[in-house]
Amino acid sequence: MVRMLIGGFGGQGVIMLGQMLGAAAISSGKNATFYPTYGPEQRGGTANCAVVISDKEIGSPIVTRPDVLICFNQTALEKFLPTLKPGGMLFVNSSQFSKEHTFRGDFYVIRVAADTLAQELGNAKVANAIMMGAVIQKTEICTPEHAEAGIVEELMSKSQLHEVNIKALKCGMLAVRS
Amino acid sequence: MEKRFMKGNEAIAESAIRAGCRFFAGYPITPQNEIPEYMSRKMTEAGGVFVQGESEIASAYMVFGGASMGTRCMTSSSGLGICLKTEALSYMAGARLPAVVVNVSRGGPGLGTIQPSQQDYNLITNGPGCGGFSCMVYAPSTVQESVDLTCKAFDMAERDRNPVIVLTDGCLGAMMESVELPMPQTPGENLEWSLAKSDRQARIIKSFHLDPMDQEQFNENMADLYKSWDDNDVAVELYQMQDAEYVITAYGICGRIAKAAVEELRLGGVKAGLLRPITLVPFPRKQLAELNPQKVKKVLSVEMSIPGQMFIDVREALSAEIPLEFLGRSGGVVVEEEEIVSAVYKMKG
Repeated sequence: MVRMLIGGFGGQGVIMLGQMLGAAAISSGKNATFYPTYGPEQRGGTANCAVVISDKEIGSPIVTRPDVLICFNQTALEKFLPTLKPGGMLFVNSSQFSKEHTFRGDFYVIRVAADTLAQELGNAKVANAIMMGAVIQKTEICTPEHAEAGIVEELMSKSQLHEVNIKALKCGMLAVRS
Repeated sequence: MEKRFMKGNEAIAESAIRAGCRFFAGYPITPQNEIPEYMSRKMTEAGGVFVQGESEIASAYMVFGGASMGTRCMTSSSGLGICLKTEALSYMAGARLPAVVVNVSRGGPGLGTIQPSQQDYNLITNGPGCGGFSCMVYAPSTVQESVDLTCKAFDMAERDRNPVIVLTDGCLGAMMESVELPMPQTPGENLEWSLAKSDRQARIIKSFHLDPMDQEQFNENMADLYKSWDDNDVAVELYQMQDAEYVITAYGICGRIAKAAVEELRLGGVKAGLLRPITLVPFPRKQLAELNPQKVKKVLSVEMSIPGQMFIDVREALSAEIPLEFLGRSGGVVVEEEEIVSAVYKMKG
């Protein structure tokens, strides 16, 4: 079972990333839940969601101690890093941090310049699909084909966005390939 | 079967349409807004009618009207809106009209919180309105079960000519999970109460009786109906119960979390089991009464309500020789698997 927490600002594609990861896991034959945190949110506020992926039946969709933490900004990092399980994986959108910023602790750090790479692809909104590529490359929760299927399912009605998001997915995978 | 990754609330709306629901009236309230939002888009595509009423009360009476015409009808809300709908619910029960009412519950009392809770158990199960009537209550614990039970609710409402309530919560409503959606159904025509069509004798739909004897007869008929639910319609999940020494009772979102806790406890060598009511009305009294005090050492009732509400029904049904303990969270806090595991270890001593 993999428990993931994703955090960032509203508008960074946090919720969509969670949904795409969940749909990708489902298409690979696994069970998955997605759960957004919601409250009296406001524009520019935080957006967080939880994704649980498992071969078995899933109990709670709520994640308090993640194995995988994906942070799109400083606020999410400050809020959730203390909850990351020892030995867990931290994916950071390094475009939001200075080059000198270090992330120290008992966890693996995967830096993904998601915003920068998205701008290079010509669409700032695909930073989440870039992050998705990095996550599936490093965690191996599903194959690239299933990840593509997840993207297509979640963006079903917006077919003009399929191509650029799949391109972004591959870009993210390449960015963290060692 | 078609498999999709869907939000609980949207899955309820989609399955209602597939079950033949062609009239939905509601009024906005968190955390059920995805149901009317989905209906506003999809109901018209299905050839049905969506209305956002001027209030909860009005939208519930619109459902009364739709049901009178033999149309499969639904309304939804959260606890404080359901309270307002109870007036029309009582009239529907009195007029013997079917409808499906969904309560996506949140913290309370009053405005409470917009996060998930199970504080509406007493309101929903003890007769949701005046006049001493009952509604069958389904409590799904997964998005798939939300789909299956919503479809079943329409059939049962029509079979009994009585409203059926689907009780979920803000967590089940907001979460996404894989679902298999059923094939679309075409509901039956020529329903015995329907006012549609005119090639027949006049029909009257009313909940008013001038003669007290008529009212008493009505109440006796309903008592027989409720009794038949106890005999025929109880649904319960029994998990790892064969040799269970420590039994957890939990419904809805708590039920699935408790199931994961049972798995964890079993790995630790604790003979734990789960008794999860799927129907809250009729309540699985018989299954609880049958728990053998020689085998079952203790029972833990887990709920997202404080004080415990289902706890009281469990206590009443359970052998007096079996001690019952309570683990509750409320206000929008979803109980954690680890809390349940610790509570069982603690009561085990």
